[in-house]
Amino acid sequence: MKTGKNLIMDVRNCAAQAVIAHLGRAALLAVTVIPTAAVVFIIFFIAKEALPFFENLANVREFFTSANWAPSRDTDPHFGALSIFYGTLMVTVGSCAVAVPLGVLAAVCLTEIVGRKTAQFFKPIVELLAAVPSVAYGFFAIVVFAPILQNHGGALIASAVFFAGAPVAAIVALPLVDVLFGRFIKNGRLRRAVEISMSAVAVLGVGAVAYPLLSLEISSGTNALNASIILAVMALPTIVSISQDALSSVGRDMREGSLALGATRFETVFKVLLPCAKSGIAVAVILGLMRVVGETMVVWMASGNSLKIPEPFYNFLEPVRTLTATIAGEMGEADQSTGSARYHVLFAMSLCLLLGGLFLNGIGQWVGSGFKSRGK
Amino acid sequence: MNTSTRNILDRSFTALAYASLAAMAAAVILFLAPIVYNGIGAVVFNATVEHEKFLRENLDAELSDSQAARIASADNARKPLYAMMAEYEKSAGAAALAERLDAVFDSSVKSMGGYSDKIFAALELGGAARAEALRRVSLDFWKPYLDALGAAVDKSASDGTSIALVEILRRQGERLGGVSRAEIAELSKIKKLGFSQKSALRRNIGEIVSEKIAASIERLETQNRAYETFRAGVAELLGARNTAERDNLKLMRQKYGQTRMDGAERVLENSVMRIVVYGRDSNGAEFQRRVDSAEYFRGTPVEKMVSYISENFEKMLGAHMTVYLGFFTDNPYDANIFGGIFPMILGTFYLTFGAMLIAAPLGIIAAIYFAEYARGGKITGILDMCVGTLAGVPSIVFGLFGLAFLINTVKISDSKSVLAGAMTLALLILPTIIRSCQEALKAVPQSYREAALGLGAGKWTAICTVILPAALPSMLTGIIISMGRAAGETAPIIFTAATSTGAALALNEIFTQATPALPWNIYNICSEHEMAERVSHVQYGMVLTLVGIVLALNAVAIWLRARLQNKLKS
Amino acid sequence: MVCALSGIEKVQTNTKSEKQMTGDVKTQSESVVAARNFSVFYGNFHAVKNVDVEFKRGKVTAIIGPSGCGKSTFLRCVNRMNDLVDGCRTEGLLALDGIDIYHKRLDVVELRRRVGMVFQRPNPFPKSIYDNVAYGVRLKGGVSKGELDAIVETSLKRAALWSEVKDRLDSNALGMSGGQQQRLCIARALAISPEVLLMDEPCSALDPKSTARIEDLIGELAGDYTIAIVTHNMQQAARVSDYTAFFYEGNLVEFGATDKIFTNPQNKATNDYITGRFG
Repeated sequence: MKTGKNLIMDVRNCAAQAVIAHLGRAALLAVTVIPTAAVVFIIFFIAKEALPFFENLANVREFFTSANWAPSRDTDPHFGALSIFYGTLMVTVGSCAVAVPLGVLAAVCLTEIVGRKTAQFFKPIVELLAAVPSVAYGFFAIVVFAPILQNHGGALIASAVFFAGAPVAAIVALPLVDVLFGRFIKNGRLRRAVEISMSAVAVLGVGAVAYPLLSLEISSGTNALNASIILAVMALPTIVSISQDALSSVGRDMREGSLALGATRFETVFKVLLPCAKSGIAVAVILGLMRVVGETMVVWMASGNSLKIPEPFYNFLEPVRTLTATIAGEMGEADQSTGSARYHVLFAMSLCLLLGGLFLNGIGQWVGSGFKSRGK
Repeated sequence: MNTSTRNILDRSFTALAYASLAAMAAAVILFLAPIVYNGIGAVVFNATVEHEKFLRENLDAELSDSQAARIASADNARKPLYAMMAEYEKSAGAAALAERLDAVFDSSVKSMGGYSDKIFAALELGGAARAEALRRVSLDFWKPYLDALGAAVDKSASDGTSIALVEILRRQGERLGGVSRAEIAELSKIKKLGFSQKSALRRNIGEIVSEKIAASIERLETQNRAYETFRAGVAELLGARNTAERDNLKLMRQKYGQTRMDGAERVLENSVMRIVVYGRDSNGAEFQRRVDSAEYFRGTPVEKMVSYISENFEKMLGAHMTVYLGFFTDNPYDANIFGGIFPMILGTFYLTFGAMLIAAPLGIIAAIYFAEYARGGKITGILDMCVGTLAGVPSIVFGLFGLAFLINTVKISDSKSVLAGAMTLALLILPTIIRSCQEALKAVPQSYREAALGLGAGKWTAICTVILPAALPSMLTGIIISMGRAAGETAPIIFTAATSTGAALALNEIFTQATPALPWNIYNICSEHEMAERVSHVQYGMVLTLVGIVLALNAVAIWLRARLQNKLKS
Repeated sequence: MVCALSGIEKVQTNTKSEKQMTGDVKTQSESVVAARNFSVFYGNFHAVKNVDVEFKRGKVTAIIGPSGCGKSTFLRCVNRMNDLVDGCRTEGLLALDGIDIYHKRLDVVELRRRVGMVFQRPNPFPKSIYDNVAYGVRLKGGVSKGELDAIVETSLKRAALWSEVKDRLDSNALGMSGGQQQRLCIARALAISPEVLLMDEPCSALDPKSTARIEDLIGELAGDYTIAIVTHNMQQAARVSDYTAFFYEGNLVEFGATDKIFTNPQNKATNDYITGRFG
């Protein structure tokens, strides 16, 4: 029989050990609760400071329906934040319009088209884009990009429209020819000629749209377009890397099955992979969207901070102003007078921002959980 | 669709996809290239001797012999210019001119007695006729003076007496009133004059002269103002002329000229070779226009100065390439126009490490709980979801929370402080740290746990001795990337920690004081600086420093990860 | 019986009186680990069913059976490794030196020090060879550097690894070959001088040469340690063990001296299995 410690502990030791184990566990749990507590506290404190503003219903009405923003006036202040909400919406839509197609396309390219080596090479590039601080992007927007946009904006936009639009137009034109004339023209050569001429027409059409843009005059380089483009670059890495994960989680068998049935890569991507990975891509887009909506420095520096709703409403060349930029720009003047109407309205704004963020986050987690459970 | 169409579609799609990659790579290059190129320019640049003078006199820099020699030679090159300027400003011919003009003035006044008959005759007239007659008479006896005055003014530009002449004319203008009173008294002795006659005399006798003097002064001052503008341009270029002058000036930017050749060239072009002059058009409205200095000052001593400057520009500034590493370790002076960005770097360092010191232990512990202790269940689910939710809170909201909770409610400091900022940032990076540490712990093979427990380790012992060490490199990767994020975040520190001006903080001040920090100062210096052009190199330098810090942290993380992967492979 | 025993610290494990034993088990040798009517459940799944088996002091007991028969599960109960598995519970009695392993006040840490384990895949820590062996000893503490060096050397010698690694004790254990790693794991387990050594298919991830070395090692260690080895490999069981237990679908089908089981199995299932009809 072995000597040494008894295998069975006495009651006191056993109890002590259980207590220690429980205490340790409780201590760990206490730390783990911090993020949860932080979420609760953030919502509570932002809501608490926003509440005095929402108590006055006339204010609330004005807040969401008017564009008259003059919160600092002593007499007759106005809290119409419509133009600010609209500015946020505008840069969000603008940046998504750039970042989503580009990002998904890049993700498709990285997972499906290029080899492992090239994908490995691009990984640090994507990470680099993600790592650059937002203020550096803002600096680029205001110091480097804004003057270029102001001085050569027309040429820049025209060439962007042409070079992005022409291939898309050509790609759209080809199946169109097929659908329209496929039944009538059986002759291969004739058919090819029609296809080529239709593509050429489509490209010329894009050119015709782009040409008048050449002479576009841009009054200020800091505008919705500038902010949208820079925000798109910022959202790009999020969209690319998460879409990449989603695409690569689609099994090999799907891919091979589709290719084995004689589908081209293009058809495989559009008919099999993208539908399979759609919830993952949706998560990618939502996370990219969240980065755009919550971003402060870039829009503060690059959007021009004008309180006007652009005319016409889709004019991206006008300066706009966003929620985040308003909060960042005005809180500095408002916080000395804690309790002022301006202080509270800014908190009301950030409450809207926070709730919007939580809403998007919720959707993201919901869609993401569907995507994960299906992945299993 | 037939096969060839499908193939074309496929190929165009492939091309489009490649184009998207190219666009991404282009974005990186287009973004980094100007920042890197201009940012390096903040440290390595073509400097002037003013740079070394500034360093010597404010930062006690030791100068090498060659630098001292360069400063001496630059000073020598400036001497002739300063001599010219001094001569021009002192107006060597002024005394003689004053004497001559005064003499003519006196003789003109004296000659008035000889016109008494004409004056009395004029006074007999009434109304406008009387004034007109008096004017004509005074024009006669003032004629020599007016001629001399006109000649002096015309010549003043070319002989450099315009500054002195203004003084002379002012003095003579003041004398006029006294003169007319004395002369009227004299005339009254000859013939008794009525009150209205006296006042008409007083009004008209000096009028023509004072008009002329006023016009001359106006003309001269326009000229002098142009010179002043030019002189200010030279001062902007070269700084104070000597130490005595330097000590009287308050602002650093007045004491020293341009420290960089690119700035110096800009000043030479915009403020010396071309200047802004003010004038009045025929309607008397003021206007300003840019003129070519050499053209404007043609035929005057100033023209020589202009040509001297353009010929000896480089010599006077002692242009030379230099590496100013002090950019990272020196304090800024005069709104960042001079010196380095040390306080901002230090502030960023404090905030980043502060945030990391708070968030890393908490994040690791929470990750240990999630990975090793949590047993599914609803509560764990809620806790886990909140980590995701916290990650989705916009960064500016963290800033407001820091303001509303940490500063206004808990009052961890009276106003903004590094501590409040670091805590806010810690909260911001906490979810990222938790997630990455969780992943790291999950990646530790179950067999390590079994082996440790099988050897008689308790759960906690197994975690500390085997699981944490095994997960550490990949945890570090996540923590370091989070540090990079904390270093670059601006929005959370605007209301909690950042101040645009301020000195570097000592370690014990971080609990109570706000600090400058790179991200905030980058915003500040490119959005709210009154002389954005003069600090453009600092802007780029700051951005490159910040981007460099963040990317270096990321590079370390990537390196760690690569090392880890290699280890796992072998 | 379970209820009656649960509060008692010492349990009489009389081997003679049990019915299910195959004939002439050498009853005079003392049993170190004994299971009586022992069952393991994973949730609702009855993984090990009412098993009666015992490991004799200084002998090698092989546990054989087809995949999923519960043999590993049973082995992992002996040092309560199954505590790591959610939803795992036991019934019946499993005793070490007459002490109930599933006693509610049992010191699991002490149990695992007395019952060492070697796993299916070599699992050295990503530390140096020395630190791997010293790990368990250091946990207990109270050992001087000199003693520790001696323990490491002895353990490595016993695991027949000393001559291969004595010059690179500081190099990372992950740099060794699979067979060396597994012997290191054995050395690591020996360093805390356990009474019982559990081996869960220790050779399944190794090449034949390394397997042979491990088998030799088991032969050398028998006598000093009570060894239980789970294996898929009938030849291996026949070569290294003194007793063999055959598990099938959670039941202990047959238990007895190895030569008896392999030459003259009493049960048809045992016979089918060892002759390769199934499994």
